[in-house]
Amino acid sequence: MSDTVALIQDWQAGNEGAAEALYNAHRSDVYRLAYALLGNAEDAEEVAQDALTYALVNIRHYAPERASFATWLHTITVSRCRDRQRRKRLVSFSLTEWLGLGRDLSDPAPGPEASAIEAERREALLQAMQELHPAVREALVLRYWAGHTFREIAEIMDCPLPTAQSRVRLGYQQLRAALREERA
Amino acid sequence: MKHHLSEEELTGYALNLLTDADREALDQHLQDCPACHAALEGHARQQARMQAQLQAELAARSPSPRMTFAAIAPAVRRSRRVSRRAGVLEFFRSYGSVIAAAVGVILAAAAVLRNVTWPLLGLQQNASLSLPFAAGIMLGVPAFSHYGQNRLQRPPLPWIWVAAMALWLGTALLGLYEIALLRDVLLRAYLRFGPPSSQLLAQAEALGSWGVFFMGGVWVALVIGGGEYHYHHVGQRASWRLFAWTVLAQLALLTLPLLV
Repeated sequence: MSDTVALIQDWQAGNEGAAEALYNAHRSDVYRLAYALLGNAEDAEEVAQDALTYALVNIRHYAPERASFATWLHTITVSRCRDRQRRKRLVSFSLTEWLGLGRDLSDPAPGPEASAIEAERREALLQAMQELHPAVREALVLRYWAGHTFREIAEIMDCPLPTAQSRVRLGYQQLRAALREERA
Repeated sequence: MKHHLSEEELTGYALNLLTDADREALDQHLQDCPACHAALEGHARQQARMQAQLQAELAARSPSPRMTFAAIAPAVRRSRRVSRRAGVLEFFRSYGSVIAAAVGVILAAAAVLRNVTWPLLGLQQNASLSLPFAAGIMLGVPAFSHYGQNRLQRPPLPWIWVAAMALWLGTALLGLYEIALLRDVLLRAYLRFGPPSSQLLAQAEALGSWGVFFMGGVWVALVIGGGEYHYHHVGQRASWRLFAWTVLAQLALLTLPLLV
């Protein structure tokens, strides 16, 4: 944390090396969050670059006393993902996506140590998450993947605490039901 | 507790959503009921599994080699140069919002004074719509310029509080003026029902009084409820959005006399 604060201060002072170090420290994290929310590698990469650029350019807006740098970055990423989803819904109609061909959730091969069944289950989980309502998916990813507290989730999603709690609860129940159905 | 725990209770317990009192009440039951205890463990296992699977699945996803700092460095450098200049502009924009909100409050107060209080005292008879319109537009400046802005993306500077308080006060004053305005609209609309007579005028005035009574109640509820909502959401997207919609609705109401 103190490393991050020092890097932020260096970048605010104009040291571009510090910006690069900040970028490299959070690159994968931001990408994975965008990927979990969008379910598409290309979109996730574009949104992640956009979110990181915004964060680095607007570093003076970051207030360490309000939230950790990661939480701030997650807020920006969630907001950018919402914009991307909204634009996609409004502007384009993709036949490949409608047919379910646009998603590349199964792209990366499982590690050599991972069993085929386990890899299949993990993929099924990610698939089932893509079927959830975007707000419910956001809450679930922020809870289970990023490990945020309910209060942090409410801050990131800009909603009241009970709403954040009920979204996580709903997401868990829906995911549980979907996975049970799939196994049956 | 004799009955088994419901799915809602089990999920709430497993997700750590219960209050201490609720949790204690369920703990007592869980100690004596092996079935519920097993069901809760099932939920805990399921959660741990989901969490592990999601983390493993995402850990296996890495950005492509194209995603590098070098790819965004030119944009960062360019925007940062612009951003330094923008910092100065932003300073004016932030304080500009406060000034616009304050002017909006003054204009709204002037509208109430000139169009409601003075006629009551017999000082002025002709109402002016330009004052409340100008107040609505000035209040719209901070509300719309921050529409959709998230609190975490910007620190809660003191001016956000000042702007929010000014907006609340300004919209409340404008609402007060609109009660009188809607009463007049109601009177004028009712008087169109028949030829002018003292009986029709008396009926219209009674209707107007009931209208003021009803709208006054709504106004009090909105001012108190809105104030509480903005207090809990100050600087958040939801608060700016509500302010923007309130100002828009108030501007729409101001056009009613032009239609009737």
